[in-house]
Amino acid sequence: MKTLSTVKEFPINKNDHFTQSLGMIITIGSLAMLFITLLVSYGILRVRANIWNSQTIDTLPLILIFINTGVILFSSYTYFKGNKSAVIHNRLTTQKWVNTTIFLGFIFLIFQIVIWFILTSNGFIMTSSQISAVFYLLSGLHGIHIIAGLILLIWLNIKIQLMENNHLHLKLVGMFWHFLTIVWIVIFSTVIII
Amino acid sequence: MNQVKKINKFFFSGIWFLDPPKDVSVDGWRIDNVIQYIDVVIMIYFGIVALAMLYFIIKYHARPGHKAIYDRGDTKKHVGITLGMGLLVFLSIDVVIEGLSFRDLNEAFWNFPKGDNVVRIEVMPQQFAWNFRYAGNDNTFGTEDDLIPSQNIMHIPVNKPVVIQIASYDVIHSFYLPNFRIKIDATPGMINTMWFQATETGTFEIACAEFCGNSHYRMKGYLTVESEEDYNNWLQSLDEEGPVDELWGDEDEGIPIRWGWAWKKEAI
Amino acid sequence: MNKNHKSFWTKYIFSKDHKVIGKQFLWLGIFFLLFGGFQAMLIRWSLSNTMEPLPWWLFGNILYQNSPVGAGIIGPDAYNQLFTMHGTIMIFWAITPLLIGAFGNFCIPLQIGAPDMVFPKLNMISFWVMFLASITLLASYLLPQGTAASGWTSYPPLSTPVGGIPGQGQTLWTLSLTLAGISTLMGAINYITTIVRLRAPGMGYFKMPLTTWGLFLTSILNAVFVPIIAAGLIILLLDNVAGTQFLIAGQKATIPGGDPLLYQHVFWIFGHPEVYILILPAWGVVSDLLSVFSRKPAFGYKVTAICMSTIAALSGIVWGHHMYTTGMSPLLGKAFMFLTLIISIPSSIFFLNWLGTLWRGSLKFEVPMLFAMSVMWVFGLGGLTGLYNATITSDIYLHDTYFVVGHFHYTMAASVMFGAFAAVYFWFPKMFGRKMNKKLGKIHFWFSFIPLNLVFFNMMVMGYAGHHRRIFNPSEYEFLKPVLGLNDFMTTAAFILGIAQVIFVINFVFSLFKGQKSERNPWEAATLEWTIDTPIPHGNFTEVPTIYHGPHEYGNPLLKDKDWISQSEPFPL
Repeated sequence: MKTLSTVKEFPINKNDHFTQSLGMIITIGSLAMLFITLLVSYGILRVRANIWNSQTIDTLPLILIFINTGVILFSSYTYFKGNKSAVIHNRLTTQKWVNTTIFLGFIFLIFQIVIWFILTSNGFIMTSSQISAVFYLLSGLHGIHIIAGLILLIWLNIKIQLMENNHLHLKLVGMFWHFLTIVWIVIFSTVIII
Repeated sequence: MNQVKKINKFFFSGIWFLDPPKDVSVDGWRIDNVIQYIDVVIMIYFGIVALAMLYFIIKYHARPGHKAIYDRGDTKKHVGITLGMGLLVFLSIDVVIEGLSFRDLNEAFWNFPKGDNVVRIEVMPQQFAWNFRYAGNDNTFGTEDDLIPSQNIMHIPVNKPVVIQIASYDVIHSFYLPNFRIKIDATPGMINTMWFQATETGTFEIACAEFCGNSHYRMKGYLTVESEEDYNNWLQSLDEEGPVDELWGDEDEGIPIRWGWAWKKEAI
Repeated sequence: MNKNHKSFWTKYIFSKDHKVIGKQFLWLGIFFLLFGGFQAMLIRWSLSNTMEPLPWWLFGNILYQNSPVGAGIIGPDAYNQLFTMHGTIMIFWAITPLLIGAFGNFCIPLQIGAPDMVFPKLNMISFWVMFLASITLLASYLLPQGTAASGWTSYPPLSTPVGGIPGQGQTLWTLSLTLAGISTLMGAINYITTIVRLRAPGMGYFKMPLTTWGLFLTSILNAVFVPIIAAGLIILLLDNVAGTQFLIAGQKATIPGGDPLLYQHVFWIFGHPEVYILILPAWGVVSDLLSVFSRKPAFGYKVTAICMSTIAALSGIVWGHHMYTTGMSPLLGKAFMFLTLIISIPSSIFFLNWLGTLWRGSLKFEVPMLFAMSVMWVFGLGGLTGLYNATITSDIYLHDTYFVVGHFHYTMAASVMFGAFAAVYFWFPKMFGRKMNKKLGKIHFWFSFIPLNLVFFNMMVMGYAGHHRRIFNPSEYEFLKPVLGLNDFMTTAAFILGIAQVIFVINFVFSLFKGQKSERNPWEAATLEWTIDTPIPHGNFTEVPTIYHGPHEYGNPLLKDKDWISQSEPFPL
């Protein structure tokens, strides 16, 4: 029979930071496996192929892709600033930085679509070569996850406006957003540059 | 070799009550041997397990007055014995079959015959037939005097090593010779190599062992093993049918055109 | 208004309670188990009575009426669709929802003393995503040209437009499998986080029941390897619908650079861990159940947990043994063979621990125990026969023959299914508050165990005789003539096996409504879920349990009046 002295409160609140972060970490780990597999597959196809159709991209879309890489990097920076303001409980500044991140995220997405549009009208379509297929696959999959990230950011924005204590949410969404930036850098380096 | 076959027959006709197809290859006995070794060891070990379980069921079933002996099995002695038994199983089965297998692979299956006394054939399966190509008198593939028999017919001379290179025309197939105990996948875009040697004459079946579509189940070929003389006569008769007009097959006959490749350099 | 008041919809349909979600997965799993099992009956019928019309008791009047080879007759195309869907459904829609979805959800929070999963909303979504996946898969039956038909492994180029199999069945198959994978991932995130963070005070990792250990390791493997197959499926999907040629090469390729072998590697890097994913929960359940019904602790508990973890870790580096005949380099082949054989060490060790649990115990042959012991038998045989396939030379002969089919049905169908049955019989009283009928359970057991051995052992015999796989009509081949008689015998045994499952369903459904009411702990088991009454309230434990010892305290000489003590009960002073 339990006495008062032996009953303990749950030492772990399931809403605590580490628990929630663990969930996000595992999610990011799994998504990382997805992108890693696709990137490694690209590598294998390229190495094993006797004939590798390396279609080149025109200059304009290439420049846009470079710019876009900068955009997403900057968006990670703005989010980082937002996180910092949240730590010192400056709600308005946090909101400002998060909004900037959302804005940059949308710019990134729109630029991606523009890039796609320019490329397809110049004959660089999914089925024109192996490298084009890889490009559209990876940028498309990344784009889908960006959309998910934007949804998360907008949700976060609403949460901040409701003045709830959302340092945890900021941290979680931040993990996801920074992950997307890193994925883009890797895709960019392997597919575009190499 | 015959000695080994006799021993095999003596020991192992009883365990698997259906025999594999007659082995007419020079190295098939190796595969049969390793299978039979595993049979024996498994019978012994699983037999012990089965007997142990039977014993436990009889001796330890719950009844009034019988109590379980509290034992967590985590003493050094218990863990040591368990690990020891596990290691024993590993050493007696795994290490042995690994040794046998590596030996067989190095001595036979990956030990490709070289030189001129080797018959070379290109095989190209398609949905749903087997195509074969012989090099002809100039011993070079991809030339005008290549010989292509009708689909699904393959001839080889007895007692001579045969090396095949195989690539698929459309989907993945697998060239399976039950009487030789071997198979190799045929993947489009990739050339695989395999070798074998027949010890007896006769006609044997070729089957496709990788699911390839709705007629996969009847993608059957016939391998005829014959004396050297008969084999040469057969090649001659193919030759007499006339030179292969197209360098590559005849689409009207259903033989895909533009098949065949210059013999891939033998690396192994 | 009472804050806890729940409508029918939030209580039963869109519930966030892990127990309800677990039951939802149970219904889904049992439905597809029967569906897949029926497909197996059709396959066996077709093999024994090729090109003959289906009998009335296999619904020959309703099925295959539009078959191109005659009304009610299974032709080669239909046969190919059958074995494809049978494999896919059994693996992803029967075993996964049953062992991982149902018992994972139900058992994990209860066994670790948690109020629920860490992410209840995610849990609910994971079920409904699986439901959506199920609809997508079943929708392919409505397509005019039928379902996917390239085998559950769906190797390209056969599974791409190059392969010549008409229709969109393959596309729906790929989509539904991707959705199922997403559902599994969600579950894995939940299970891992819950086990890591919500264990009750005093429950260290080595005090968790082995069922939870199995589910924990399974979830880790899921989180790592399911995205890999998702990547492969995405590539396959693009090749099917977008005209890409990642996986097409040779004469039929218009875009150079594709490689069908890439898919095989990606598939089996996932595929081999997948078979361990399927069996780890069963191993855990069996380890626990053997302990409960031998009334002594699981022998070498810590060693077993470590062995299971080692096997899980090694599972990711042995995939090449599915591909020995693809023409890989000899060095690579040898490496895979060596690693595959290494796994047999931890496997034999924890199998010996199972024997150790029975040794000097007091064995109670309840129905869950019968199934648990039968897992020892079938897994012992199945695992040992894996040796033939691990060895390259014997695998050259046995690859793509019925030997492999027999081997994996022993290790997967038999071991996992009997583990699942053991789990169902064991936790039924906790889930539903009633007991299943013992007599029917024993009939179910014997009429499953014996026929199953007769069917699948003979498959290995057939494989040894050279019978290759996925053959609609084996009488085409001369060398298979000696084997054909065996087919009829196996079909008869398979039909008996099928009927036995009907007995199970009758028992299950009847006991749900009219079964004898069960007391709180009918098996006198020591794990936490047996310390609370059914129906278990939302939040599970009214007080947070404190854990004092391991999960298998049976027969401890310190106990005076009973032979067991619960995990959350301290030893009497």
